[in-house]
Amino acid sequence: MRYRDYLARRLLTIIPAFIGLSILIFVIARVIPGDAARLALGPEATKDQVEQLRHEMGLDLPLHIQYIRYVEEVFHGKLGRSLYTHRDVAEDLAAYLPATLELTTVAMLLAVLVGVPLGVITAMRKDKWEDHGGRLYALSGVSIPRFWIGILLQLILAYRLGWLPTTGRFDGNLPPPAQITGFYLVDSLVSANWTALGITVRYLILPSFVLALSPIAQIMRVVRACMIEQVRKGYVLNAMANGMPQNLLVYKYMLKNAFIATLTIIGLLYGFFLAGAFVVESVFSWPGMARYGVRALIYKDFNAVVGVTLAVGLAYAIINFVIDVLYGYLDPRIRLGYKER
Amino acid sequence: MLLFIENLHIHFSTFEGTAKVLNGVSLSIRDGERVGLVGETGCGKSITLKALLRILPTPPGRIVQGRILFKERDLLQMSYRELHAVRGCDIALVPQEPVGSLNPVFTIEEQMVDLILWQGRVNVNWGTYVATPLMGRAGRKVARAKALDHLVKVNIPDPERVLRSYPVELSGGMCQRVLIAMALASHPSLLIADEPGTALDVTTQAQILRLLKERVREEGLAILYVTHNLGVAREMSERIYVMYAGEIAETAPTNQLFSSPKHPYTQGLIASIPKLTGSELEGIPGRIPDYVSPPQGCRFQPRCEWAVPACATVQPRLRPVAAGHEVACHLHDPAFFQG
Ligand SMILES: Nc1ncnc2c1ncn2[C@@H]1O[C@H](COP(=O)(O)OP(=O)(O)OP(=O)(O)O)[C@@H](O)[C@H]1O
Ligand code: SF4
Ligand SMILES: [Mg+2]
Repeated sequence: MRYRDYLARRLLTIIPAFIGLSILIFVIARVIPGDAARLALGPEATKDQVEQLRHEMGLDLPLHIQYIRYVEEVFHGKLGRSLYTHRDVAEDLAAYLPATLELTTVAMLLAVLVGVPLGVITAMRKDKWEDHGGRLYALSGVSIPRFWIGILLQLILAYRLGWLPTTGRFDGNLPPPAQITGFYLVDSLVSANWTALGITVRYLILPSFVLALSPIAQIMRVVRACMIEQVRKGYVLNAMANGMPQNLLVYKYMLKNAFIATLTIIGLLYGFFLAGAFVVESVFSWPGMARYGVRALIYKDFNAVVGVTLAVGLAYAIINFVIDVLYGYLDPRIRLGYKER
Repeated sequence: MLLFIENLHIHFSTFEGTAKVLNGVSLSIRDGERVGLVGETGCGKSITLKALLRILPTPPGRIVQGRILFKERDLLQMSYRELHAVRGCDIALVPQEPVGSLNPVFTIEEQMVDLILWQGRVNVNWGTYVATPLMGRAGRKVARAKALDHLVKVNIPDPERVLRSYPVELSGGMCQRVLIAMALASHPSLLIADEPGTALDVTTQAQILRLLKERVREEGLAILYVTHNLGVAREMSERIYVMYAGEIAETAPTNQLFSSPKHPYTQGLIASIPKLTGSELEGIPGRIPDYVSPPQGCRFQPRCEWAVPACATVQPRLRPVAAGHEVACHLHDPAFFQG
């Protein structure tokens, strides 16, 4: 019962985040570009013509009214046209967003699935060779630039050895899986198209791995620190004294505690994934939103910038809400209201 | 002899240097015997227990010397396989701090059932573990029934609710009872209690003591009861070891210790037990010495009003003064005075 209250409270805290986000995009869309009427009419237009258009566009209204109107428009999906693609920004997003979300989500899962066990192993083998190896990996994983690793792997695994495709999201000579959600993994699974699933996975391997490299190291280090912290806890000593089997104690009892402590970091890392996606999408010509966003910025395509900001903000908020849900699910102290996050 | 600790030396490496905490502790417990281990805070009681349960963090700790024989086998030399067959199964612990000794993110049921099902193994086989709730529903069910039974035995009024609860939802006293139930679940032959309930209020503490005493008597098991309160030790045990700064100062049957304490430290401790008659509380001035550079001779010498010059240079050994009564003090060593 109290889990529901907890979820409701978490949902409420998203509201200020959205208000902030909407102000941000309003500023990008309406304030930074300058006088939209003047821009639209060009330098030849008379003062009266400009005033006329300003009135039609509602630009003469007070700022807060403009803001409310703008939020309403956005809420109805009216994001305007992209200067560059000449399509509706909402349409562009529908085309590019799933590619990015698929890439970042797969990379994130990969980072958790690899990072957590590595963290446990390096903690249990503290100061042994496994731990030193982990430390070395963490140092290089965080400090070596992603584009460099990406290009290197691309050269070796794709060009030289031909094991994996070099660029793109799907084989250009074949039809992509039936468009249902835009997530190729989901679409090929749902339509039971196993060939497409295989191809999708092959195309995902390199970019998601490159994207996950440094988060794996970060998660590994946090899990390691949390596991080492658990060793000193009373419940561990008591479980040991009472003869709890070692692997049950480590992988069930200690890991759950350590993982809860790691969850916050994973939520924060999602922003990192989105940022990293810009680089990875460029290296692997991934048809995602990151590339679209960069192009929009370069061409001062403000409608597109707004769209991308909105999408990224939403994705970030949703991921963090999911993390909150998990948090409450895993930690009874939070769910039952004994502890605040 | 059920447990025999012989000449145990434990050091810790600290920032200031090597802390020579345990300095030749010897202690023995017979089958079914109730033994108290008494000493002020920091004297090394918990360290002794941790060493014998092999949960001493090493490093920084280091067992320099000594043997710990349990049923004639040295716990310190055991392989993990042998150790797990003993730890929790034949020797069980009731820890000092109730709430922190239970895992905060699992229900009492989960923790007790896992213990009942898997205790005694070094590792569980994950295949079997995963299969238990699937095919052997009975396995977990039976274990749950056992857990319920154990909770009833420690006078928990609402065992069903307690099983379903997380530690945060229970009071300290309730957690302490759960821990006692967990320790007794495997029918051990030695129960080790590290000041259970010091973190609780006086009334609850008294209840816990009474419960523990009752359970120990009923199950006929041996107990090593650790406390800094000599009065509590008197309640709980038939024989007492008095510990000072990592050494055993004196041991005697409880009655004898109270009727004729020999060691100046024991005398001081007895004098400082608050009396109901309202006499003034007499503490022992001074505090436990620094373990990095402890006094050369008797570790109690800086606080002892009876100290003779030799006390500063020669370490007194435990020697018998009466049947079952041993003291480590030069004053009670005739040989020492003869030269
Ligand atoms: N991890 C450690 N590192 C360094 N020194 C330690 C460590 N653990 C214990 N010690 C030393 O050992 C001494 C004895 O500790 P121990 O926990 O056995 O005391 P205790 O007799 O159980 O006291 P209390 O009644 O407070 O529980 C402490 O005073 C401390 O100096
Ligand atoms: S040996 Fe000396 S210092 Fe130690 S207790 Fe006896 S009299 Fe006191
Ligand atoms: Mg202690």
